[in-house]
Amino acid sequence: MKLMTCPVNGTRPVSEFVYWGEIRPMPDPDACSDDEWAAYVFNRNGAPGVKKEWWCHTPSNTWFIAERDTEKDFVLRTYLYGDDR
Amino acid sequence: MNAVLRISPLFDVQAPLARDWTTRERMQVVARFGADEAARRANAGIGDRSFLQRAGVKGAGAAAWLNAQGIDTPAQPNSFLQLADGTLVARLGLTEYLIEDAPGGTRTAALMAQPPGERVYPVPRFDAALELTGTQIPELLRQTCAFDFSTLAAPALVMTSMVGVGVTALTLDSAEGPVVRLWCDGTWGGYLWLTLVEVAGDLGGGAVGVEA
Repeated sequence: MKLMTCPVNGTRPVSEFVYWGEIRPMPDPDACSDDEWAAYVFNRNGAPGVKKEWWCHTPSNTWFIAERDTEKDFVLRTYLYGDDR
Repeated sequence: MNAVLRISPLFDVQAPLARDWTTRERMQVVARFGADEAARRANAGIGDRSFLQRAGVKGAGAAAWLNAQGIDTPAQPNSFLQLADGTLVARLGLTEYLIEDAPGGTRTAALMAQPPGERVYPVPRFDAALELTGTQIPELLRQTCAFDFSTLAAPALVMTSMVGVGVTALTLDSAEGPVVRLWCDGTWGGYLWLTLVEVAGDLGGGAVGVEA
């Protein structure tokens, strides 16, 4: 059973969680080029590596950030948005 | 003044199995499911507590507003209090609370009659509410839920997933032993109830009515 640690509810089976994709900062639409905007809208980074991802513990609807190595499928740490210190 | 105005979210799945009906808090509920209810309740009884009145509030001002109404609030998220009159006050998040009356209680009605204060937002609650009783409940929980309830220091509240349904669960002590209370979204309630009743059947338990 795969486990994921919710920063609020603790370690639970991954079946209690949903994955909502990599955190992708939005470029300023007024300042960026069309290519940069198109890349933001249409392209996703499929290369394996350590990524910051949105996850949600569905029973409590707790959204948080997981730093996950997508090559080794290893979760380095999880924290609530704004707690990245 | 005992007219039926409410219907349990579990009505459709309970109706084929019910033997006697009664009315509690203006909701039509099953009084008995058949013979041997006492034995089922002692082993693994699955009871319906959806008829209890409940209210939810959330917002930065929710705790202070509840305190001003004479309702104490738990100090930590994922914890609960039971007031002297039996009212349950559960803290579901940093600023979200669920208040459930004891049978016959009027606290939530009084709460909802008040205008909400500043930064207090009422949350309508249409939960299916279950009560699990009996000696085989730890085994039932092991079969239906990945969360290990034996690690829970009673009294405690936990949000987890049971047979695939997101539930809020808490454990209470009673004269008959530990009782587990569950709340889930009402639309999932029938599936959760039927599945738990089926698993409880293998453990010598099953559905119990409110008069068991």
